[in-house]
Amino acid sequence: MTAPHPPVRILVVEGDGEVRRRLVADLEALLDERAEVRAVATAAEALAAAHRAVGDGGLLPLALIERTLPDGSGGAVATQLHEDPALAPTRKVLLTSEPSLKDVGSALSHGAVHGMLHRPWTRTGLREHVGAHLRPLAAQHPVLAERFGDLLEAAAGPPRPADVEAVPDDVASVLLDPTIDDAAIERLMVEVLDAALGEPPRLRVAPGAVLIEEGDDVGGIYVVLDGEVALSRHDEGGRHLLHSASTGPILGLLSLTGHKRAFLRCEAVTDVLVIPLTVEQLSRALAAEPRLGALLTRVLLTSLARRLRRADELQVEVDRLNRDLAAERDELSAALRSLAEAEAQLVHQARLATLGELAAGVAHELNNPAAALQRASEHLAEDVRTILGPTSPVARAFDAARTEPPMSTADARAGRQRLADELAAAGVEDRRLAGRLWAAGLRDLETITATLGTVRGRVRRRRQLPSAAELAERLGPIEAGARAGTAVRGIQLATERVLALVGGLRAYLRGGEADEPFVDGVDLAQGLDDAVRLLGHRLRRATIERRYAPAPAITGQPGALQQVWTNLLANAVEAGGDEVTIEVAVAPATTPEGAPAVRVTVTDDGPGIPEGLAERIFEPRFTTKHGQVTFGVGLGLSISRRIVEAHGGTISVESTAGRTVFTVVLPVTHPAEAGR
Amino acid sequence: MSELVVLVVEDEPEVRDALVRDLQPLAASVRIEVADDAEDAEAVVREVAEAGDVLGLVLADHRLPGRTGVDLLIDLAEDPDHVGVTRKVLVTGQADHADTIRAVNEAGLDHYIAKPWDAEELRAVARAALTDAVLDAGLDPLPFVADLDGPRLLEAYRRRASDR
Repeated sequence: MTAPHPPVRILVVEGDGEVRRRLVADLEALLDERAEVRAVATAAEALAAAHRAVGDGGLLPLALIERTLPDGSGGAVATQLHEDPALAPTRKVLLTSEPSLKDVGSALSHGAVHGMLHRPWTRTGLREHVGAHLRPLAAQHPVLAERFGDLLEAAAGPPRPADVEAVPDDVASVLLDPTIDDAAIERLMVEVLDAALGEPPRLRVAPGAVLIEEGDDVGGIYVVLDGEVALSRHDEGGRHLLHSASTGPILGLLSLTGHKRAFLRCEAVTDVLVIPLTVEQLSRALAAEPRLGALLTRVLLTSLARRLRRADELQVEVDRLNRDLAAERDELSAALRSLAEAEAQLVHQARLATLGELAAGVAHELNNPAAALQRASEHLAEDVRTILGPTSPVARAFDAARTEPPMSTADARAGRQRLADELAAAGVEDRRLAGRLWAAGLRDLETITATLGTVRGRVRRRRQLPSAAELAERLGPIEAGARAGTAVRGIQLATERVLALVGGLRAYLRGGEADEPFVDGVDLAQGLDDAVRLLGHRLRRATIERRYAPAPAITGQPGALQQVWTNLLANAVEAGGDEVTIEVAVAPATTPEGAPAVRVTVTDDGPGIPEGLAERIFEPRFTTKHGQVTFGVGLGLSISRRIVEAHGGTISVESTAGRTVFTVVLPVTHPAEAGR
Repeated sequence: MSELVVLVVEDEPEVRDALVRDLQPLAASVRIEVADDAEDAEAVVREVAEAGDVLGLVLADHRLPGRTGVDLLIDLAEDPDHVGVTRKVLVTGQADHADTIRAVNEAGLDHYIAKPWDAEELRAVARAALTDAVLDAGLDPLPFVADLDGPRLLEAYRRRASDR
C-alpha cells in the first residue's frame, strides 16, 4: 500500500540513539505505513527537518521533541517551531523522563507545548497521545480523519458535556451548592480550565514516576485527571505514606501559594494522566474565567478536608499504637522480670537437686554400716552379759551403766557430792574415790558395803564399809564393767542418731510420703485433732485453742498432711516452751488463682523467729539440741513444705515477738487434677 | 589438800563419756568433772573455786546449746580466780575459722583438737596443759609425776628444793 496524497509525517527529535530507535519503531508499528516517521538527533536539525516535512505540501500534525537535547532544550525547540507560521498548527509534544515543569514553564505559557509524553512510555499511552493530538487537526484535514479513524476513536475520551455554561455564575453557589457532587465539580473545573487555556497539554506518566519531589521548588500545579497518586514524606525512619485515596485532584497548590518548597513527594501509583499548569497559565485562566477560582477552591477544600480527616485518623492511630506499645513494653518488662526470677529459681533448684542426689547417696551408704553397728552393739552386749554371768556385781554395773536413764551433769554432780558427804561421815574422806564409786554405779553406802564390804564375824557374816585403800583396790573390775556398759550405750545412742539422720534425710528426699495415694474427703480439722492427740505427751502442759470454721474436705494424702500438722505443732512447742499457747484454725479460703481452698493456721505465743531467719526456715537443716537430733525446726519444716507443695498449696510464716503464725493454704482439688 | 580438776564441757552424752574414758589414765591424780552446757560449766568453775581446788584444764566443745564453747572460754579467761592457771582447749568438729580466731585472740586458747580425736593426742595435750597448770598454781609437783609430765615436774621440784 502506498501512502496517498498528501503525505502525513511525524517528526521525532531525540538525542539518545536507543530511545530514538525505539520511539520510531513504536510509532511505525502504530501508524502501519499510514504516516512517515522522520527522526533527528539535535535541536539544530529540528527546524530544517520540520520545514522539509511540510515543504512538499505534506502534513506535519505531530512533533515529538525530547525535553533535554544535547544542544538545547526541547521547550526552546517547541517555541521555535511554534513561532514559525508554517509549523504553528503542528502539535508539539515534549518527551520527558521528569514530569516537573522546570525549564518548560515558558514554552507551556506560550502555548508552544501541547503535550508531554512521559518516558518510558507504554504502547497504549503512545497510541492515546498520538490520537489525542491528531484529533484537533482532523476537522481541518479530512484526510486525517479518514486515514486515522481508529486512533481518533480511541482518543475520543469522555464525551465533552456542553454545559460549561450551566456552571452557576456566582461564586457562593459554586462553593456551597450541595446538589453538585464532587466528581461533577472536578469535571466542571477541567472544562472551564480547558476553555480558558485552549486545552492545555496532558501529561501521561507511568507508575512510579515522581510528579513533585519533596523539597523541590514547585513551578506550578498538576490537575490529576485519571489514575492514583500517593503523597509521602521521608525522614530518618524511612518513607512514610501519608495519602493515597485522600490525595485529591490538585497537586502542588499548597506549596505554590506558600512559596515554599514541596513538603511531600507526589508519586504515580498507577498510569496517571495530569494537566501540568504553570503559575502563569493558572493566573491567566483565573483572570479569563472568574468561576474557575470558586471551582478550584471547592475542589481544593474537598480534597484538603479529606486529607485532614486522614491526618486525624492517623493521629488517632498513632495514639492507639502508642498505647499498645506502652502496654507491650510493660508486658515485656514484666516477662523479663519473671524470667530472671524463674532463672534464679532454676539455678537454686538445680543446686538443691545436685545436693539431694548427693545426700541420697550418702544416706544410702550410711544406712548399712549404721544398721550393722546397731546389731553388733546388741550382740556385744548380750555376749558380755553371758561372760560376766547372771548376778555378778560387775554384770550389775555393766547393765546399770548400759540402761541408765540420762541424767544432767548438774544432777550427777549433786549426787556425787551427796555420796562423798556420806562417805566422809562414815570415815572415808576421798572425793575422787566417791566420783569413781558413783561412776561405777555404786551410789549409796548400803550398796557399796554390800558389794565391796569386808566380811566381819564368822557366824553372822555381816559386811562392813572397808577403808578407802581397800575400796579403791576392789573397785577396779566393777568400774571396768560400768565403763563397758557406758561404751555399749554410747555405741547404741550414736548409731540411733545416725539412723535417725538417715531416716529423716530419706523422708525429706522422698518429699514426705510421695507414695501415698491422694484420696477424696480429707477433713483437715479432723487431721489436726489427730495430730494433737499423737503429740499428747509433748503438749501435756500446752494450751490448745481450736477455731474451726466449716470448711470443705479436700483431695490429699492424709498421712503426709498429718506429718505437716505434727511438725507445725512440735515446732510451736519447741519455740514456745512446754506451757505455750497454740491456736489451730481452719477456714475456707481461695488460692491466688481463685480456686476454692482451705486455710490452716498454727499460731504460737513463743518468742518468735529471729529476723532474717523466717526466709530460711523452710530450707533443709538439721539442728542438734542436747545431743538429740531434732527435726522439728529445719528438716521437719522443709519436709512440710514439700508435702504442701505436692498438694499444690503454699506454706508461709509470719513472726513477731510473742506471735508466730504458720499458714498453710491447700486447694480443695489438686491443680493438676482440677482440669481432668 | 587442794585437788587438780579437769573440766569436760560437751552436750552429747556419748561423746562426753568417750572423752572422760580417754582421760581415765590421768584420773589417779586428777579429778574429772563434766558439764553439758556453758551454764553448768560455770557452776563447776564456781564450785572448784569455792572448794579451793585448782581448775587446771577446760576441754570445751564449740557447739553447745545456749552460749558457745568459745564464749565460755572467753569468760573464763577474764575470771580472776583462774587467770594464769587454767589451760583452755577447744575440742570440736564445727568451729569455723572466725570462731577459732576469736578463741585464740580473746580466750588465749592453748590448743585446738579436732573431732574425731586421737586418744593419745588428747592425753598428750591434757598432760602438757595440766603440767603447766600445776607449775603455775604452785602445787606440789610430786603427786603428779606419775600421771603428768614427770621429768618437767621433777626438774621443777629440784629447783624449788635448791631455792630453799
